[in-house]
Amino acid sequence: MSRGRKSIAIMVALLALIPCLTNAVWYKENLAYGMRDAILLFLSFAPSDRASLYLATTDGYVFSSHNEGLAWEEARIIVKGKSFCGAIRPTVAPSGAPFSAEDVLEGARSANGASFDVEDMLLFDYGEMKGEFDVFEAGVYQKSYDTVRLPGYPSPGNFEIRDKAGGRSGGGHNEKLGVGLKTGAPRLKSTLRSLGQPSVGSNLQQLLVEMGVEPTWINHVAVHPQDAYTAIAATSMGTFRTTDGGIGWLPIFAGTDRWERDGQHVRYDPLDANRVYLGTQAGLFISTNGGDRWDRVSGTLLESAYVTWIEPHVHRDGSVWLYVGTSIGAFLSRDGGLSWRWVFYETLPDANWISSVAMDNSNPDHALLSTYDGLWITRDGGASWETSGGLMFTSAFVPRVLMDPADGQHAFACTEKNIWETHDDGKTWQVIYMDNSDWKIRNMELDPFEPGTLWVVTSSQILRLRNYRQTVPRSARVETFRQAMQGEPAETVAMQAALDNLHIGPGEQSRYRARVAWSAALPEVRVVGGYMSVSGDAFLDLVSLVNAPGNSYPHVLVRSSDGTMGYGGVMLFWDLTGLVFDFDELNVGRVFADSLGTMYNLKFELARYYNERIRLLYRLIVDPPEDQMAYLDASLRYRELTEHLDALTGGLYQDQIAQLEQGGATWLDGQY
Amino acid sequence: MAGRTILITVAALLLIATPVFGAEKQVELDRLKLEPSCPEVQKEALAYFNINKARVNSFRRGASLKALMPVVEVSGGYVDSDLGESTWDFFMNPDERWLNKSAGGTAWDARGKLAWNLPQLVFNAEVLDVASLAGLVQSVLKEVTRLYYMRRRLQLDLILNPPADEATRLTKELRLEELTALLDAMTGGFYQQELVKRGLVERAVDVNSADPLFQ
Repeated sequence: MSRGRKSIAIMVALLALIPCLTNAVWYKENLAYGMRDAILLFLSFAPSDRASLYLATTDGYVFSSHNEGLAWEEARIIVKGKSFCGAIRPTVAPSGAPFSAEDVLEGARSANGASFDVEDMLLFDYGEMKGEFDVFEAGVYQKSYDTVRLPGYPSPGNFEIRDKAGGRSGGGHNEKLGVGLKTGAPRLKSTLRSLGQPSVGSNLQQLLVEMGVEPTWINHVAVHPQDAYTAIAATSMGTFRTTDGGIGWLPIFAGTDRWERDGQHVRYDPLDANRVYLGTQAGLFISTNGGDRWDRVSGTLLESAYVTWIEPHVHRDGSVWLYVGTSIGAFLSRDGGLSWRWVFYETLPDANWISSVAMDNSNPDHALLSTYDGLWITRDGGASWETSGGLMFTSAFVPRVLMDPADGQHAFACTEKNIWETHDDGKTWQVIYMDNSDWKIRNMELDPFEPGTLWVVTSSQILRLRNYRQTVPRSARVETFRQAMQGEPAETVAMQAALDNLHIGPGEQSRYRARVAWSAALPEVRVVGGYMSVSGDAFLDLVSLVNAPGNSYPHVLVRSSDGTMGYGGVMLFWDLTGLVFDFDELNVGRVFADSLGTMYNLKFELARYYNERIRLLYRLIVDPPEDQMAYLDASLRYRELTEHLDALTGGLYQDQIAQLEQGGATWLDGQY
Repeated sequence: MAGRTILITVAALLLIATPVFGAEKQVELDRLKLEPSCPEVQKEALAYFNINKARVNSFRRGASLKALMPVVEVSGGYVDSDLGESTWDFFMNPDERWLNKSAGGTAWDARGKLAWNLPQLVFNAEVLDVASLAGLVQSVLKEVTRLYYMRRRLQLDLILNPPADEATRLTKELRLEELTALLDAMTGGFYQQELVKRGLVERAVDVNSADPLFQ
């Protein structure tokens, strides 16, 4: 074979391996543009209300929408501890007192001015007086002392101005509190002890972290079949229930240990809303009273298996079939969970880790499993399994597989970057959507109310894919909306205003940091001044002479000494090394990390509010909801977002708020 | 001018779409307008948390100017010393001391030290530290705005969809009280006080009262 033909053959073979893009065109719409407070995980529909959606995240947040994703409410099942605002880092302490004045005093000392030794006063000139003493003690040999220094006697004192304070740098009170220190927090420790609180490892930062509540993953949300405002969330910190549409959540199941507490999946029974299935890291639980009490499934490996997915299905004979995916394969119950059969187990562990299950609406014997090692299909109720898609999904993590409820041959699967579709029961798969964002595809759902619409959740997007183009209304209202938009600040302007308002823009901080080099041109100035006064007396009495008759002198020898001294000094210090390089000029460290984190949070939050508000503006002008409550809800949310954006941006939306106050429409005018 | 025209057009369009309520409900809805507005509540919350704009700017200004003030140390001391020694010569005179020696003295000193860190006038890292309050500002704004409008939605719901059964009504009213209390707590008592001041509720909860709940 010639080289050219060989190349062509290889290219043809490669092209055959590459999945073809489908001919159908899918139109994408992102409903969570800017909703990046958290990593998005799972979208759940309310079976009874097409407008209600719940969105699970990895950061304790549950978003809920009751207007088809137009606007989102945010609830926090578990609050993530906020970073501590304050000086954790022991900043370079302001120099200054206490600093040492030793240099100044040294000069005074050398001039004998800064010390006064009482002991020295007793050093009478004894030796030279020796003869006179002999006279006093005539007739008796009296050996005089060389000095009167008292052997072994404690020093009477050396009055000397000393200064040993030193110019120590450090965190001052921070250091005493243990802030910023990995060990040692004496004052905090003693305070805690006095309060009877444990003080082990009482570093303040650590303490705050320990006091904070751990953020949790919201792994899945199941919505009540008849009540869109009731839902159950399976989280890593227990199972919670809302009855007010996702605003408030109350715990309903905490498990007896951390594995039971870690809820992975939850589903309502399709026939009986009081019957709820909960998959945890340690077994499957069933509630028969809507979630108030949970009983563990027993007598099967499901009793302790790590449950990842529950897929209920109503059989045509009226029984409820349940597929349960776990980390050790799949289980099937044909009687609503009373008895179980272990239907799928492979030798490769990745294949046993089930990520989702899809069942054929018309034939429950026909099911698909997505795993960490591709797709598996059964057509005989789990008796036999084969891979779907050939080598295409081998070794690939498939987060989700879905079957078209109207056509068992039609299914969807997603990998981390692609959405795949099959029309021939998984024999061939085609890519219908490639996500080119930085995010991973986490999950997807078929719209239960709108055939041909696929919702895809990536870490940061909610994409609505439609295989038909929606008609855009062409009316005067659209033109009005366009004109109204001209008065709106651009997203970048709003972003900059918020960063400026909170002073966390990297530009502003960098400009300030650049000043640090010039700060070294100025000296540190230290001034010291003081005054000392001393006086002392020494006495020597030869008792026989003092007490001698006729003697009127109280002492034989007296020495008095006194003196005063004032001193002062000025010291200037230049740290010229800072002119060449100063560490503070670098955008590093806690302050920078904090600012960066806050900046990103703000950016995501602001982007979300900004775009949600624009969507609402569009809806309210172009296509206002006809339902009274829906209209009020949307307008109230519009007002909320406007006021929130105004507060964040430091008044950028003052005109819009003024318009709200002065407008003629109720939603513009009211406080509601 | 063009902007005003657009505004009027938008307002007119929305006026057409504005829902109309019964007179009784409208009275209740109008009553809601008397309550403190969201910007007022945001302002009070930030002030209560000591992170309103003026305060944060004051922190920043203080951090940049603090080096004008010296660090002051005043120290002093006083020493009083007295010692004596007596020598006995029992050979010569066992009844009386032979030699007395004594010495004593006092000394005191006072000292002051002043230190100015002038480089901090140009750059002080604490100015940047103040920026870490931004996260707190963001959180407080988010929380208080969310609470405010959560409460407002509940109020609207109670007015426009009054619960038919007593249990639901009580649950919702309890929730309303909870949200009011949260707003009150977030604003240091401002919310309740304003409701009382504006004649919307009878009395405010005194968080400084002897009620053990608030101790």
